Order: sequence, then C-alpha cells, then structure tokens
Amino acid sequence: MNTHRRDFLKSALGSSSLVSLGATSVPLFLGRSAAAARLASGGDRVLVVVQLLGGNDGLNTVIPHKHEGYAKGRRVLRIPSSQVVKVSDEIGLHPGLGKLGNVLEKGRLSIVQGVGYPNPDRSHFRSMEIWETARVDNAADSLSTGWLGRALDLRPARDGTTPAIHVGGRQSSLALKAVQSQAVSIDSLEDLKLREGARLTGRGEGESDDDRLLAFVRRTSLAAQAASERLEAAADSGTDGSEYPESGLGRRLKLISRLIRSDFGTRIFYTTLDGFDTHANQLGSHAALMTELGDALGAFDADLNGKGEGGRVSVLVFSEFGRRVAENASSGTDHGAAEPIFVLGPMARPGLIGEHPSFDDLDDGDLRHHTDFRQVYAALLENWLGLPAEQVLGAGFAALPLFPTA
Amino acid sequence: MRARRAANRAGDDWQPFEPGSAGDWTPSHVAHLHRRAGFLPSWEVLQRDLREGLDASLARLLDGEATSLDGLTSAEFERDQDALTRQAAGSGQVRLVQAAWLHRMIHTPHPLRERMTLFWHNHFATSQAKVNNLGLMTGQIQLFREHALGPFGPLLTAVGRDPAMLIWLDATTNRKAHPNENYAREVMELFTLGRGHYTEIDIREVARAFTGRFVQGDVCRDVPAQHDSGSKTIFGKTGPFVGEDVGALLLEQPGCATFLARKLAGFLVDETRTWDDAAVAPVAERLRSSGYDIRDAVGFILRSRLFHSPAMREKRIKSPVELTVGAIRALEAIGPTVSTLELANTCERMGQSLYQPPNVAGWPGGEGWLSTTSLVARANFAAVLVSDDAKLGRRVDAEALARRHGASDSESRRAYYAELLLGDSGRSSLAAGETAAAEVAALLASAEFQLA
Repeated sequence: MNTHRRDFLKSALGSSSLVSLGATSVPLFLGRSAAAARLASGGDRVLVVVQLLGGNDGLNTVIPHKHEGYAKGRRVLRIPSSQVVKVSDEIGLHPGLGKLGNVLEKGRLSIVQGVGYPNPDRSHFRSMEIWETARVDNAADSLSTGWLGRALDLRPARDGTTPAIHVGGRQSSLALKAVQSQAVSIDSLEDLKLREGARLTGRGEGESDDDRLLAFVRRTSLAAQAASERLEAAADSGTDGSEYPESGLGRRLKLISRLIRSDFGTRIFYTTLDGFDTHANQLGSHAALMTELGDALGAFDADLNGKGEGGRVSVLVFSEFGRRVAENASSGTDHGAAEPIFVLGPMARPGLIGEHPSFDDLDDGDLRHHTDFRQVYAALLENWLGLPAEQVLGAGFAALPLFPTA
Repeated sequence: MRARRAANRAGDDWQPFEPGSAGDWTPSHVAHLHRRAGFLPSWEVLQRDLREGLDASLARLLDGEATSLDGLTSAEFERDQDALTRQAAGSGQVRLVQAAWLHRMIHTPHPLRERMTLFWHNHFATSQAKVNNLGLMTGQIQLFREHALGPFGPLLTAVGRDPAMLIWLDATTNRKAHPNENYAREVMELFTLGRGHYTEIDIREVARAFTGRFVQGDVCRDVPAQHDSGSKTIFGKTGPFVGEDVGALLLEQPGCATFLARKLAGFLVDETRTWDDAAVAPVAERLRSSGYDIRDAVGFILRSRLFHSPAMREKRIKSPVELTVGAIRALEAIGPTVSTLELANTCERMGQSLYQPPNVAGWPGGEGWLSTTSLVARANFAAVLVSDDAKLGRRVDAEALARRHGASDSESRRAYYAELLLGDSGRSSLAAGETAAAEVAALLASAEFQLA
C-alpha cells in the first residue's frame, strides 16, 4: 500500500465524520478518494507559475557577462564574470541565484532566452494583460478569460476539487480567469484548514440522494472534509525535512508544496513576487530579489524531489517584460522588451534554450525577442498538462521542445 | 395532494396560494418564504408569521417592518446607515464599504429590499476593481436600493446615467463622431433582452442615441455639441431618439418582460431549472400589464402556488452573504453584532466580495459557490460563530438562546435549532454534537443549510 493511500485511510477512518455517513456510503467514499489519491501519486501533473511583477531585469538575471554589449550597457550595474553562477562559457546566472544553479546541475532547469511578443508594450498593466491572457489583440472579449482559465475550462475539475489556487493576496490573477471554473485565492494554510469544531457532514439519517442539488452539496462537502483531513495529516507529520527560506516567496512555495501533497486535486498554482520595477539604485534591491527567488525555488525543488514528487511538478517563472540594455542615470533600468524565462521540472533539454538576443540588433535600445511566449505556454499545455494548446492559444504557436514527449 | 400536483401541471402554477388548513401553513412554509425573500427569520418572527398567516407575512416582507433589529424606526435606520456608508466610502477602503453593507443587511427592517438590491448588484454587475471610486460604487448600490422594488423603467434610465456603470463599460466619453457601442450592447444583452433579440444595427443606433453622454468630475453630463441629433431607427421605430428614450423602446420589446421574469424566477423560485418562455409567461404578462412594476411581479411570484409548493424547497444554493447574514439574524447575534469587517473577509473566503463581482455577468452563483476551499470557509464560519474564539468579535451563546426560547433539554434544544435554521424540527438529527455550540455548528455546516 503506498503512503498516500495509507495516510488517507488513517486520516479518514480516524475521524468522526465517517460515523455520520451511513454504512452504505462508506465504500463509495473511500473508493472515490483512494482513486483520487492514486491519481495524485501517479501521473497527475501540476504547474506552478511564479510571476515576477514590475519587469525583471533579464540582462542581470541570465548574464552574457563576457559580451562587449553587456559591458557597454552596464557600467554601474555590471556583474563581473568572477561572480556569476556558471551556465555556459558565455552565460552565467546572477550570483543570488546560486540555489537555482543546483537545480540546473540536476538537469531540472531550462532557461529560455529571448522571449517576448511582437510590438512589445512597455506599459506594466498592458503587458501583464498580454502575458496573462495570451492575447495581443484589443478585441472586446480579449480580457474576459486568462490563458490558464481557458485551459481549466477545457477539462473541468472533479466535483469538489479546486482546479486552481492563487497563493498570496486575495486577488486572483487574470491568467486564471475562466468561464466555468472558479479559481480560489488564499493567503495561508488557514484558509483550507477546518478549525476546531468545524466539520462538514455528508448525510443525515434516513436521507436519500434523490435531490440532485442536495446530492451535489453532500458530495462536495465530503470531498472538502477529506481533503482538509489530509492536509491536517500532512501538517501533523511535524517537520517534514524541508527547509525553506523565511521569505515571502519561500513561505508561499512551502504552502504550495504542502497543497500539492494533500490531494486537493489542484493542478495549477499561481503566485507572484513583487518589486522588480527597479528604476533607481537597482544593484542591492535586485540582488535581494534574485536571492529570494533563487533560494525559494531551490528549496521548493529540493523539497519535492526529496518526497518523490519532482517528476510531476513543473514551475514557470516569467515577468511582464525585461528592461533596457543601457542602465539609466539613476543606477537603475527602465522598461524594456525581451527577457529570459525559467522552466523547472523534469526537462528534456536542461540548460540554455535559444541564443541570447543580439546586442547588434536592438529595437530602440531593447533586446528583440526570437521566441514567442505562447510557444512556452504551448509546451506547458500540450506536453506537460496534456491539453490541446491550439484551443487555448489559437493556431501558429508550436510548442518549444521543453519536455520529453511520449 | 396528488390532485393538486396534477392541477399545477395543468398550468395554474402561478395562481395564488391560499393556505386552507393548518397543514398548509407550517414553519417550513414561513422559513421558505423568508429564506427566499429575505434572510432567515428570528424565532420571534418565525412564530409570529406562523400565527398571522401568509397575507400578513408577505405584506411585511414587501413593505418592510416598522423597526430595525436594533430598535430604530426604519427612517432613522436608513439615515444612520447612509451616513455610515458615506464614511466608509470616504476611507477609500473597499473592506469598510463591504462591512457597512453587511451591517445594514444584518439589522435591516426591510430584508426583501436588501435582497433585491443584491439582485440588481448582480444584474447590473459593476466592480470597484475597475471603477476604483467607492463614492460612485456606493452611489450605484444606493440607486439599486431606491429602485429595488419600483418600476424597472426608471431604474434602467438611472443606470444609463450612473457614473460607475459608465466607467465600468468604458462609456465615459461618448462622442458624436465615435459612438461607444459597449453600453448599448450590454444594455440589451445583459440588462433587458438577452442575446438574439436585437441586431447589430440596433446596437449602433442605440449607441448614437447615447452620444454626448460624458462622465466629468464623477458626474454624468449630456454635452449637446457631442450629441448626434439625427434620426435613428431602433427596433423598427424611427425618430431623433436620445438616451432617455432608449429605456421605453427596450421595455416595449416583448422579450424584455420574459427576460426579467426568467431572472426573477431563477432568483426567487428555482435556479436549477431552465425556465422556458411558457413557464414564465404569466410573470412576464404581469410585468407588462403593471408597467414593469418589480414589486408587483415579486409579490405575484411569492404569492404563487408554485413558490409555496414543497417541491420548490432547496432549489438554490445560498450565496455567502445570504448564508452568513441569515445565520446571524436567526441566532440573534445583534446588539452588538459580529465584526462585519471580519465578516467581509469571511464572505470573500467563501467567494463573494461585495462591490467586486468577477465580471459584467455577475457571480456565477449556483454550484459555482461551492468548492473545497469555500466549503471549508463555510464550516469555519459555523464553528467560529458559536465558539469562544474572538475572531468574529461576538459569540453566539447557543445554549442561552435555546433556553430563552423555552428549549432546555438536549432533545428539545436540537428540535428548536432545526426549526429555527431549517424550518423543520423533524431534522434535529442534523444538529449532532456534544454541546449546544457543536449542535448549531453542525447544522450550519450541513449540506441542507447550504441550500435555500
């Protein structure tokens, strides 16, 4: 019997909720959730999105440290070759991303360079909309759904599961906006924990499930009770050996790890890291952000691998745009265009994907993209989540070969 | 019974329900009426309405009670709440504005008016997330409150001039040279007719009628120089129409009454079924013949045999606001009540953030209210409301409440809770627990209580 199932039976049978279920419903209840637990421990894949808010300075994240164009654009903000975390002979990561370097060494990190979209928009707001909806047009319905929301609508969740969870802050992301499913936004585990004295019961004595609506509520209630108990069991297991940094992103990823392991049936998690709009005195603040990002991602990856879950979790890290090549007069950088993005997980081609954008062919001082962000989305949808990308993104975006295909 | 059901099927579902014998007017009937047309009744109101019958109960719901739950006359109460709302809006914090509305709903002498205000908030769904002006948002809700049970025409016209709505639908500068079609489209698609009952030409012509309408300094202004005063043809009628004429043209469309009747029937009677035109025809006819008098149509529905038929119970999932405000009123957590600021957080955890519906179509509602996390939030609310935990700032003493209403031993106590919260003392087994608090928490978290 695998651990998922054993834990589940222990937590479910140990609780008083089953007493009120009535004898006939018990096997069905166990059957359904045990199946769900098997699914969860098997091939049920999860996507975690970390959105960097404000426009990350990609040039000081994935650094062409030997290039003359870099040296020319960055005088105050230049990261010397001696400090970078080596990726290739030419390219290194920001020194704050050391822990991400460990992920790379394990072959679990792809770095896609030169990502963007045609006619880049340098407004935070608009560019975030474009990334979150995967639509560059201005049609009336262009903001009515997000790219992940449309994906969720293609494959409605099982009853009583939560298809997508936004972690941190109450406002969910436009990316998760769907027609049918409702993403949930939570700040902490408390939001999913049944308090002392709180209990969701399924069925009263002598009641039947004749009524469709009542049956739906009972079913959903049972699933919620079971999921919350699983969470409790996971929380009660004491120190689970994982070590996360005491940062905001560290806490959020720790929470996501726990949720992934708690059979909420959630396939998509979304969280953000704010503060990347570094127009002035960027060196210190950007280094702090890089450290928060690298340490948190490194801990998350180590945690999941240590628990045997690394094979079913992928992480996408992106920002609404990169920043200009030339630093400004305030030791900062202004809004730019193309950027590098990270994808973590069991990658087919770890390391760099695509060339660093050319310094000789700038677009009004900005790096030009050569890879459309929707090709990355297509890979995540098609080759990771197993969903038809074209229905979500429209035609013409071939999936980047990020993941092994069957 | 069998004969009556057959008669219903024959088409007189909408005939007035005339309770004859005592079995026709039970606590279940009273509770059903209040669940749909107000919030859960307190024990006193439940017993009073049981005694006084349907006519008196319905009249009080339609007209409001004389005093609020905190003992003010209804005029005093509204004045105080308006002041509270203005103050909250001035703070710039949406949570405070939500808290103010929840506070009003908990104490209101006119629950049906608040429920209908919520109905219009969902019907004309506008969000602070985009409008970003709490003065305008609370102004819009006040507009809905004033027109909640009035004729629909004046409400529709007022919405067409409402700055929050115009900002929401990007119609703040509607110039003669570039008519804005967004409001014109939504007014037909979402507010009055539904898709398929108008043409693109109608949209263009309605947009022309609205040209010259601007929002300047938070106020709607008509700028004559920007108005297209030419002739327009809308639904086959031709004339130099202006924005104010559009409402009447829409209300003349036979589809408008059907559209509204369907929405009201889903809201008040049964959200699980698809109401076809024939099923709501008598309600639509009532709307037409009364000049779209919403109070009349709502009264007609709440009076009908169909509404009072036991088959129509548990045909809706309570919204978070319905559920929490109802529980607080029924359990008499009044004077002082809970922290409504914390209650606003609670409702958001359950998926409903007042003044911030997810989009122009409103909250998905129905089964969309329930997910793992929102159910956990519902069960936690149930536990917190009766626990010593100070989280909601006010605890319901479940045992004292039962004792006050004459239920002292465990058995009568559980029957009392089941009658108070479900309108049915026979379902006392749902109030399972070792203490009075646990019994109430179990009832509030039961599948049955999630339904209305």
